[in-house]
Amino acid sequence: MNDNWKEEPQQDLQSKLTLYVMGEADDATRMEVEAALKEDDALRAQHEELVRALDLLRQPQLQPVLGHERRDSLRAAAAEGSASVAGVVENPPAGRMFTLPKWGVAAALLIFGGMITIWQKPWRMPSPASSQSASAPTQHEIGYVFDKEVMNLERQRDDLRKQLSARSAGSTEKDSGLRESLTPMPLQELGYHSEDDNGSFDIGLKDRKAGTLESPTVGLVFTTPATPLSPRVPSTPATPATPATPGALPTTKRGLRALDLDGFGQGTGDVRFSGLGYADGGEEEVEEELASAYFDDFEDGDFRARSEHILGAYGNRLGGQPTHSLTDGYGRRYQNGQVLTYLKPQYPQERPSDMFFRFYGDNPEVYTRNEALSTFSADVDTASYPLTRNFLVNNQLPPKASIRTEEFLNYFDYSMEAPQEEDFAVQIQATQSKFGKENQILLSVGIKAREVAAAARPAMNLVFVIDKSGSMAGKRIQLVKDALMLLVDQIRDTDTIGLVTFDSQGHVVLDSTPGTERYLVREAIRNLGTGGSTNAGDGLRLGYQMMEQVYSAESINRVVLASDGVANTGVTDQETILKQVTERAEARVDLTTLGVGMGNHNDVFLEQLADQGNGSCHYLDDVAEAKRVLVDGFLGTMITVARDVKIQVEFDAKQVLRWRQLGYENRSLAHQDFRNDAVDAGEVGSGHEVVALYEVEPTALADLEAGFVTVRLRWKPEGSDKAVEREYTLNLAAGKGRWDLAPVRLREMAVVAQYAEVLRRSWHARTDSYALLQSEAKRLAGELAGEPEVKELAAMIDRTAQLARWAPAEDDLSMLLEEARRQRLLEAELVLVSAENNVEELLKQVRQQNLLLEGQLGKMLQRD
Amino acid sequence: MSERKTDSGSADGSLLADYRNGKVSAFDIIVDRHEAPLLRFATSILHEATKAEDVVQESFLRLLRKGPELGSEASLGPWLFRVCRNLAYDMRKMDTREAARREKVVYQEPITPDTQSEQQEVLTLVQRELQNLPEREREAIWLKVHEGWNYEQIGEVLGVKAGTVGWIVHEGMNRLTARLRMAQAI
Repeated sequence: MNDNWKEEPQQDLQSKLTLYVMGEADDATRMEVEAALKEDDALRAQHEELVRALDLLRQPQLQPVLGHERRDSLRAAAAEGSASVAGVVENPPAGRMFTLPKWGVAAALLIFGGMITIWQKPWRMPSPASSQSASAPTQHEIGYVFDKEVMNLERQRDDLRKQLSARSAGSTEKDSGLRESLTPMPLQELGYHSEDDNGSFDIGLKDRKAGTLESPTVGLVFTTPATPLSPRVPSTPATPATPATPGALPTTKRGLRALDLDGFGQGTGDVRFSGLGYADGGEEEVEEELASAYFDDFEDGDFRARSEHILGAYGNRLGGQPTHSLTDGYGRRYQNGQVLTYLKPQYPQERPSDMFFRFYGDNPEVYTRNEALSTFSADVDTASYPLTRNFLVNNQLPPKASIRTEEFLNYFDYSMEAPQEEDFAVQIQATQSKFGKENQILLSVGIKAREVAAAARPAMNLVFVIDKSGSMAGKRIQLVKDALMLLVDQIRDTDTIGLVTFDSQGHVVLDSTPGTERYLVREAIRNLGTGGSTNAGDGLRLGYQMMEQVYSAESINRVVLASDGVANTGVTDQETILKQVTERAEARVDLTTLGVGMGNHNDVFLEQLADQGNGSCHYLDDVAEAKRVLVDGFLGTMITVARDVKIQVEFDAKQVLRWRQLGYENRSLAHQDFRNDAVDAGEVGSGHEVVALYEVEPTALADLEAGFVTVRLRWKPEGSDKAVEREYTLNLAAGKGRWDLAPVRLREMAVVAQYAEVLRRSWHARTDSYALLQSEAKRLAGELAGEPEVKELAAMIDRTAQLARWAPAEDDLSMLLEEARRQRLLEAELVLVSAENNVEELLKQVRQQNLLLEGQLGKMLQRD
Repeated sequence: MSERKTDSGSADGSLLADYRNGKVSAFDIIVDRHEAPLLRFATSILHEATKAEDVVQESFLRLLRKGPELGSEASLGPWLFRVCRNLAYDMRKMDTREAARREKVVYQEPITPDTQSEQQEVLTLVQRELQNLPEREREAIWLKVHEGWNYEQIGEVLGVKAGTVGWIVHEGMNRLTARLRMAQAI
């Protein structure tokens, strides 16, 4: 299995270099490497890196010892002789820990193999000799093999990046834009260059129709077909989604049957994935197996939210031969290594291009006649924006997966008017959209929570739970200390503060102390040290215990957890902790999480904690941000005024042709859950503003005077379990106002959201340019001169544009890979429906396209 | 290498022979010699001092039981590490949910040290990235760097050929240097 690394000469030298550095090279190899080092600069650089890495690894070691008791016991055993020694550790029962049937394991391997063959050489299953045990590969080994392939790919990508940046090192600085050779600079469609100099690749797309703003899919090979792929489903009024009922199902030519519908374009309503059927001459049983922990974490783009991670199987009879297929949480179904189906259309008539973008985490454009409702939970987390800032400060572009448009939007203060008597004031605005297609309207839906006057606020019981593990040493713990000190300054005599820390275990540092003795709290904070591993579970347990002692229904009871990430722990059981936190939230103890330090704020878990804990999640990159969250935003962060806040936006199908929501991908709710008060949603604090944006395309005959959108807001006021609902509408005329005349705050929201879309390399922003974004941001900074955040936003956009220029190679390759993959998915999808529909021409084009793409990829991935 | 208290410097094999001939204190020296490396190794797998100690103690007990069968090996290191490793993984399997989660490779996005990185942070980062490597890569690199063994010996512990160890170490170092490079730590 390991021989393929010797086949490629270049790689061989790399491996020899490692042997050399590790001191394992024989004489011949040593001479070869030393000779090569003299000539090859790149090799020398690698050599340096390896040596430095080794240096860092060779840190002084601890000298742990077995304790006295154990040594005595060993001595006794030695004295007695080995025969009578009783073991300390019981022999575990034989067998693997994870009961996935063998075929499932093999199929799981095929899944990953299938995905990787798209861009790699044929991937071989590991031979039995290579695995530790003689039995079928364990989950561990599956992960190991898959992991190795990903590593290969990453390495090739790094090599390529090095080459390309070496080549472009000589190019002159030009004014900005994402791709340096065009001005003004539309974001090229996913990495296709159409110029033929600069050593950039051309995959023969020059002759195809250029994508136009009105129909972006023209220009890709998959154009909107002249004949629809499937007969149009009669339009149904917008009703809450219902799961597909078993039984009434089409059968494809191959005799496959399924409980859920196969193939796109045949939807008859919501086809949310709910299980698989076993079809055997008419009998159907549902078999469901819950996904293994392995699949839980398999992230692909941003798309986690609505997937139910069901790994199931169903048997088919094809000419009497039972075969098995597997499905993963994205609705992809595999059989014998072949893709059967990919995504299920969420809305009938959803175009494949829309489905892919949902798959990759961007909200699709939705036809109103298919779906008129947008329902989501309010969200006041702001972590994504300062996280991006931290990356930019360190001259890096943030990873796509960390950008959340709603968190960008909600970071800023839009000076919305506060409600006088109600809990919320709602502001709906619209204007012609500057970014995106012509004739589009930008709609903003904003809610502002009432403000609790500082003087009138209830008493507070705070318990800090602080991560003091080794990784917090230095700047991070200092930042946490500074942040806590800021909090202590806000505390009144009638409040209480307790302090819990955790490393490998939880420790009670200071029992809940009244504000009158805040000097004790300050002292305790000052003395915090670091060291050990991370056991957040124990810390939280102690924190909640401490809160029980001082809990009061009239006060605010809040636990504040500060950490640099809790995924890397030895003993933490994340689900247990989440459960604990959820229970406490139900008992009205809220949780706020503060992330510090890490470049990648390992925020998924911290965010989940805040979600379950009825609190918010913040990332603190420096003291200024700590001040913003904990001092300026003290009341908002600490005091909840509304719980389970849900927003539903309904579009009028006569007025609106299509709509698209920006952000809140992870916050969407099922429509029937809007009024289901048992379903949890976000909490909103004092004075908070929550903003959601939509891009809306009106119908040709829309009536300007009539309303086109209805917004419903539903929440439980603090202190009550009874939900309150309000409704608002807006006329279409508002949406026809010129962009230049739109209120400055609305334009500010648009710029912020556009920035997030660009950073995420959203499909919908692909024809947009940095130049436009920068000029709009600059204009805002001029108009809002008194607001440093806006100036900072403009600077961040400038810096991003610069960095994007320096780091084109990786973007190109990543995007090309993604595009190749999407096209492959498309091809597979078309094959499936080709039985029923005439898509020959289309299929031919797609296949040609894929060949070209793969040729380009191959060239890109080859070394010179 | 670790400091030993009363190490005569004799090879493990001869110590074992001494023990078989009745010199009980020879076994003590073997334990002295190997306890720290084994404990570190076991802790890197189990992340808990108590469990690590259990496993290491059991490894020594097994040595006692198997002693007569072993030849006079020059170094008991590989044998002890192999036993210890198997015990550690068995123990992890028993805590099934824990194990199922840890089997996955934990990938973190590039970790950027704060603007002025401190040496301490970098060292912690390196340890964290080492922990994040796939099991075999981590172990192979660990044994190479901390115990100074050759690929033959490491192969004995991991149950693979020396050539495979070379490949494993190569992959692991690639991964490690890539991550350290991205974090601007090297």
